[in-house]
Amino acid sequence: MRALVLGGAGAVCKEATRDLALTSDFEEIIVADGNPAAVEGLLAEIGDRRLKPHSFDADDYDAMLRLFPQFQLVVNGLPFRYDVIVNRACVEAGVNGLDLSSLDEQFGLHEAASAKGMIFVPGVGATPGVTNMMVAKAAEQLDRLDTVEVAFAAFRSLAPAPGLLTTTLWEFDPEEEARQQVVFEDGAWTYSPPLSGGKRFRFHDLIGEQAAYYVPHDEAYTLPRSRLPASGRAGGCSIAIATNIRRRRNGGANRPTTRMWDCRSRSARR
Amino acid sequence: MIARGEVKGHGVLPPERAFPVAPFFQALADRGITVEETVEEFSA
Repeated sequence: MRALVLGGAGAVCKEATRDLALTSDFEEIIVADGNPAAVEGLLAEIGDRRLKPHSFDADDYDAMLRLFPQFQLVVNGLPFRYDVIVNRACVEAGVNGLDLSSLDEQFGLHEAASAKGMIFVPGVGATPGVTNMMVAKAAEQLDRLDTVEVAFAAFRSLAPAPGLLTTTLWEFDPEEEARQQVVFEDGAWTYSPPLSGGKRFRFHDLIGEQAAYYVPHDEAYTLPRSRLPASGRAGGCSIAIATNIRRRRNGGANRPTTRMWDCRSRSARR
Repeated sequence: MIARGEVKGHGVLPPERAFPVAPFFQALADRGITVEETVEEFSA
């Protein structure tokens, strides 16, 4: 069996490539990326002969259609503007796949994918991804699930890669239309402006207690449709991102790293 | 899990509808990713 990893040498997806090399039985794992130097460096670092480089242009849809049928699994680690394109190409080629990020439009391909007898799972990362599964696990253990709140934080910079910076700016853009669909409660969406819904959450000890605020996020779209919470009564799903992790130890000095306020003002100036 | 046939559904599915819960968290644990769980009980 062969796996294809798109953007597999990028700042985020290289960990998926590493994981496939460590834990999978694929006979060949093709790392397709627009940055050949990054692929070469990663492959040398991992040192697994099953990993092979492939020069790839994510804007060439016909090339995807020619490439995908050669694989049993496509892993998409490209920035989220390619989510729908890659998902559509997988459906057209009839190849199973998954995506580290997720866009609502991808679920519009559900019927076509079902007809092909294939599966494509968008949003398989930490959040969305592990967070969705935490909710599924909680639902298994509870008699009734009324309200879900998802909060996430990171002890690294919020945007270590250009793709993630785009996502972060989008999440805090006050003019973003998705802000109309931030919280799903009692069967309806409510608008939430950037930095609204502030609430303190206790995260892992490495991060501690942090204030978190609503952002548009994939869990809020899929969990209610998956009937999590199952009850229409008090059905709420609020998503938050910690914003005041601004300092970390660096050579003994506290230096500011990522400031969400900067993101907001940049976004507002567009 | 998809390649090994451990994911049974068809279509475009979100993680919570695609992956079986226990094997998913076992796969995380196998990779050293732990999930802390806290349960607080409230009386009605």
